[in-house]
Amino acid sequence: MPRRSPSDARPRVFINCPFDDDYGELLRAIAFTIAVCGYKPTCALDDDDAGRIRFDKLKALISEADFAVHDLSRIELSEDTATPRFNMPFELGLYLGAKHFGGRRQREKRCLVIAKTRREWAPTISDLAGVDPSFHGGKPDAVIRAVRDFLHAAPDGSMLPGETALIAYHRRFLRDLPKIAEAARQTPEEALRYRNYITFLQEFLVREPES
Amino acid sequence: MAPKKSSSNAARDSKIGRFTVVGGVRVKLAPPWRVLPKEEDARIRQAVKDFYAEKKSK
Repeated sequence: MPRRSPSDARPRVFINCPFDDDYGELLRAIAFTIAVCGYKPTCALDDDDAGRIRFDKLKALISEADFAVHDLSRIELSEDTATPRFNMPFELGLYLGAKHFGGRRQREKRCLVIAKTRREWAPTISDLAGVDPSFHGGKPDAVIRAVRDFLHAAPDGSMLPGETALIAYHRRFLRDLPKIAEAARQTPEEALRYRNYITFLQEFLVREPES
Repeated sequence: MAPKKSSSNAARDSKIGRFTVVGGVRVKLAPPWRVLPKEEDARIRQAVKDFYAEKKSK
């Protein structure tokens, strides 16, 4: 893995999931949980450099990640093209390849696989038989629980907040977000865009710890 | 004007880091990272800081 500056030394968690509006609520809940647990969430939406080839971006993100959350719940056939979505399984394969064929640090990678329901999961990737995914049913609270349990402890080894407290804190952030968006002269919809959301979130965590 | 931080204070702050508290548990956060252009990032952070400072002062 590339060497990081001391100020950027916190473990990174790569998020591999759909980026469409329908999945936005779950993506934001995953990023929230990762950040509140003291890790740095990363995903392909982190930068908008259209000039950078997407595969190069993915290689860098996966190489630098210590952990990953892969959601394979949205690989159904597209209504428009009647073809399945291959991006998430491809990125999972790339991650597992880095883990199994990479150097010592790459081999320490861990990942969480999540899916919507057991029924949808069963026939998807037979090569992953034996992998026990967490099922979220499309619910943010279930995703928060799954990611929290996967991370298990903070990067310094200290205990994490319980799932009930995390879920309540997430709701509080969502309740405050339109107000802090207005203070920043953004609409609530603009504040939900991933990069805006991540910036609001980082500052919220510091300025408004649960009292 | 806020007093300029001495280098020892800055070093201490970087060691202390940023924290939040959830359910009575104190969690050390990752150092801030930027995903927006510098000016926009600074503008949002300042707005959030001012919002909660004003809320606490009420």
